[in-house]
Amino acid sequence: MNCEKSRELFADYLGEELSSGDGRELQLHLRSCEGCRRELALLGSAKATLKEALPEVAIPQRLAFDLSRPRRQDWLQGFFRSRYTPWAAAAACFVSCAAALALFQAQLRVDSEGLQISFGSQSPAVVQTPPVAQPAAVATLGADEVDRLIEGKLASLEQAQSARFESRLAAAKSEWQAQRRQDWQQMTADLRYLEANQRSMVQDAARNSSYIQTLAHNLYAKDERPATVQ
Amino acid sequence: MALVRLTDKDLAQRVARGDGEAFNLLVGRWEQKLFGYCLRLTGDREDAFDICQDTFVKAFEQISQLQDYDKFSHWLFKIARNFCISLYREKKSFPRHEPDAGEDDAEGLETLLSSGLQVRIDSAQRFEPAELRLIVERALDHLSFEQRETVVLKIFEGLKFTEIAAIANCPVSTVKSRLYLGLSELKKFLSGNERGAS
Repeated sequence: MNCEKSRELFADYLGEELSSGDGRELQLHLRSCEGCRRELALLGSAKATLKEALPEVAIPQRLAFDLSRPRRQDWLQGFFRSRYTPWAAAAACFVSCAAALALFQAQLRVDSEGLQISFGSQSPAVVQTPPVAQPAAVATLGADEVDRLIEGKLASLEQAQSARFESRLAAAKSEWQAQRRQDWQQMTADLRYLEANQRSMVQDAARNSSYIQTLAHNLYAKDERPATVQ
Repeated sequence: MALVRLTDKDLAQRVARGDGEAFNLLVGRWEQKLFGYCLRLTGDREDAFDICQDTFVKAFEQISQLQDYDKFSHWLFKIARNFCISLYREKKSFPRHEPDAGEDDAEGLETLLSSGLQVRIDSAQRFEPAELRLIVERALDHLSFEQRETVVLKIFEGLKFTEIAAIANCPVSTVKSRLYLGLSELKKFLSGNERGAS
C-alpha cells in the first residue's frame, strides 16, 4: 500500500467504519511510513479536540405539539384511503340517480316489451283524497281535560328546555376548564423556557468571565520579563 | 401495544394517519439530536431551537409525502438541513452570537491566536473549556457548509457514511472526502499553521 491509498482509508478510520482487511493493510503501511503515521495521529487529535471542546448542549425547552384538531388534508386523505370509500361512492351514485329521476318525474314500467322509462306526467293520475276522519275523540273532551293536556305539554317542553340548557352549560364549563388548563400548561412551559435561557446566559457569562481572566493572565505572564542578574 | 415500544417507522405511519400522540413521541425521540445538529451547524442556540421547531412542524404537515417510513430520521435531518442552508444563505455565514461580550471574545481570540499561543491539538487540555470552545468554533467557521455538516453528522451524531450521503444527497465517496478535508482544515487551524485567518 502506498501513501495515496493509505490516505484514502483515513476517512474510514476516523469515521470508525474501517473494515478489518483494510485495517490490517493500513496498519502495515503505518509501521513503515512516519509521514502517514503523524498525519493520522494529528487528524485523530483534531477529532478528539473537537469532541472535547463542544459537548452536547441540552435543548432549552422540550417540544410538544397540540395536535388534537385533525388536519383538513387528513380528512380528505383518510376518506380516500378508507376501505368504505367504494361503498360510499356507490351509495352517492344511487342517491344522485334517484334524485334525478324524481326531478324529471320519471316513470318506470316493466311490461312485455321490457323496461320502459317515460318522463313527465303524460297521464295525470287521479288523486283521490281520503275522507277526513272527524276528531270524534276531541269533541268528547271537556274544557278541564284540554287544560290539563295543555299544562302537561307545557311542563314536558319546559323540562326538555331545562335539560338542554343544563347540558349546554356543562359543555361550556368543561370547555372553559380545558382552555384554562391549556393556558396554564402553556404559561408553565414558557416560564421554564425563560428560566432555561436565563440559566444558560448566566453560565455563558461565567464562562466568558473565566475566559477573559485566563486570557489576561496569559498576556500578563507573557509580558513579564525575568529579572536579569548583574 | 404501548406506543413507546413502536419503531420510528410504525410511529411515522401512525402520524400519517393523523395520530398526534405518535408524533409527539417521535419529537421526544429526535428533538435532542436534531437540536445538537442545528446548534453545531448554526452556532446559535435560538436559531437552532427555531429551526428545530420549524422542522417538526414541516415534518408533521408533509409526512404523507414521505416515501419510505423507514427513513424518517434521514428525512427529518434533511428538512432541518434545508432550513440551515436557508439561514446560511440569509446570513451569508453563521456568525457567532456570544452573549454580551461577543466582540470582546472575538478580539480576545484573535489576540490569543496571533500572540504565539498556538493551540496545540495534542495539548488541548491546557486550555480552559470556554477558551477551547471558542477556538474550536472559530476553527469550524473555516470549513465550508458541506464539510462542517459532514463533520457534525459523523463526529457528533455518529451517523454512518451511507446515512450522511442520504441526508446530503451525494455519493458516499464525497462524504468521506469532505470528512477528510474538513478534519485536515481543522487540524491545520488548531495546530496553528493557519493562524489568524478570518
